Amino acid sequence: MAAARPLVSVQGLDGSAGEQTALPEVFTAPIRPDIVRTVHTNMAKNARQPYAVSMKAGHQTAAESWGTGRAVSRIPRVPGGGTHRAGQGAFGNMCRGGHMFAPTKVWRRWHRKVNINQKRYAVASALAASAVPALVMARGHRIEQVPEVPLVISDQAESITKTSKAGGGRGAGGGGGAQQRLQRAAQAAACRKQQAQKLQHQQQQPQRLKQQQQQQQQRWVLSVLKAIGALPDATKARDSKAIRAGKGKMRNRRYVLRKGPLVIFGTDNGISRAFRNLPGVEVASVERLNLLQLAPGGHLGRFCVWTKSAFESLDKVFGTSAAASTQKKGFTLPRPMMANADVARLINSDEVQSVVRPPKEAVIKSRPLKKNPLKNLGALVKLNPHAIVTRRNAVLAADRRGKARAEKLEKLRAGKPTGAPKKSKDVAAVGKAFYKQMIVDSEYQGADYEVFSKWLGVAE
Amino acid sequence: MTKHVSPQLVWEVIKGHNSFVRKNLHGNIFSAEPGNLYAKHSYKHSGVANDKAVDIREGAEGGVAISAKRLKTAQKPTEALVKTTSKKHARRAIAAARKQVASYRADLQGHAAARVSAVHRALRAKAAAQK
Repeated sequence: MAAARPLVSVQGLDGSAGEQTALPEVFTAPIRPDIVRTVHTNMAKNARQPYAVSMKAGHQTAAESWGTGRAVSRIPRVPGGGTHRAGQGAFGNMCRGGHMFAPTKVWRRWHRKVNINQKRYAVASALAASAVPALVMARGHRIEQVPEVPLVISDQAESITKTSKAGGGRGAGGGGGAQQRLQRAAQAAACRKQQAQKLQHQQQQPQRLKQQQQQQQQRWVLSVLKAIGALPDATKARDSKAIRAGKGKMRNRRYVLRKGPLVIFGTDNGISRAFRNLPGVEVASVERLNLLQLAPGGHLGRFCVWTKSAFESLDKVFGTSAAASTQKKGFTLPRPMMANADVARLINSDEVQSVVRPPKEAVIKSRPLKKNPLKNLGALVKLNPHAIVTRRNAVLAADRRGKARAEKLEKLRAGKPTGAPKKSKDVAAVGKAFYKQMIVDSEYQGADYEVFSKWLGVAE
Repeated sequence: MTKHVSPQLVWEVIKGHNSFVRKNLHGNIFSAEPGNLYAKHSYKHSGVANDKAVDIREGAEGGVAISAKRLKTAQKPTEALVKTTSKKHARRAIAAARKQVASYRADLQGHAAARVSAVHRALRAKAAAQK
């Protein structure tokens, strides 16, 4: 894969994009957070120093148990008298002045061996992740103003010797010995072989003038960081300094600080000293990349600033698919399991789409609503097909009855005979007689039953 | 452009922990990512993991700023976003946002409309406070 090597532009120290360089193959290594995390956890343990409580702690007494029968527990007790300590329990972790539970020992297994190829895999993986803007952002780096990721800057950065403008003034005054020494080393390397030290001493005056002229043209770290858009990240790291939560602050770990950019150089012509005083900013040589710096906390995506020579030597350091690494014996770059891990693209590819079944239509219907057959005729007919006949007959009958009644009423209103049989007078007479008899027969008579009689309509 | 890392892979790497996650005591997991319309910690809404994401917020000089990620310049953070600012009235702005998002991330259309609406509400409140 990777027929055409992608190109990365090299940023000038003033922020202008100039030449381009090929992307080293290590950036195509698989991104494996699992490996990085494991290697990181183990590697992080290797800088630990043994600690333990004193071997003697809690045992500096000749305590012996009193045994049974003294109505006290059988814990060893301090011998003697004349002091409060006598008779108190000793040794046990439950005793005041006793040893701790499971006293810590210096021979704890402090360090971990990590297989070298695993370490290399993890470093390659962390490097690959550092070239993904999304991962770098997700780690919390401020890279909004960065022109390109991975960020490669011109090799001139390697000979920067000053951190800030203010620092430059001090350097020229003679206080900044470090920076002067470096410059002198670079400039006078050729002279030194030929000339004696006395001569060199005599030449120092004109050299100093030269230096001052150069310093005017020279850039300082902060201006470069600003030009390449890496200043927000450095500032964020600087501003993040805070007092650590918890007891660590009394154990020589008083402050916590976010990580800023990691500056990676090929040759150190002063760059490491120039950058190292910025809080959060770290400097590393491309030949000694460290996972603890590339994936702090085991989290992928450190923001790296590469000098061109460092970037270009990555192919030598880690090797390519064509050429093995010159520095790491027996190491070949890990290759990704999948050439294309873009699942959406795989699914939507013609190859897959041409063989998959068309999507099923009509999702699950909702369950039919239960109808009450006593109220719903359709539901009733489903259960009893004859119901429809019954119902129709009932309707017809009602219709007929209605008509007949209407006719009858019509006739009644008109005073016409309705044709209904007349009530027989004899029958009416029988009814009346029965009623009268009933009234008479009733025992409810007298003053007490006046009300009843009124009701019954027979009073007075 | 250098190389393309699949958004699914990026999500797998960052979903466990990243600097934008905000967890609260109620067990809600939110996200402060740029480009996350719902502020929800999920693959669909992630503005960092997805190749295509829409960011809607109040513009620096008022109005509604909509920015969308451009895949072609994904490796160049300074050029990675296509930004537009509209000062239209709410209804028109919502309609415009819908239209813009429809051809880009159709699944985010409704969310974009809701977000524009929310931004407008905030703008109205601001304007009312100034009077």
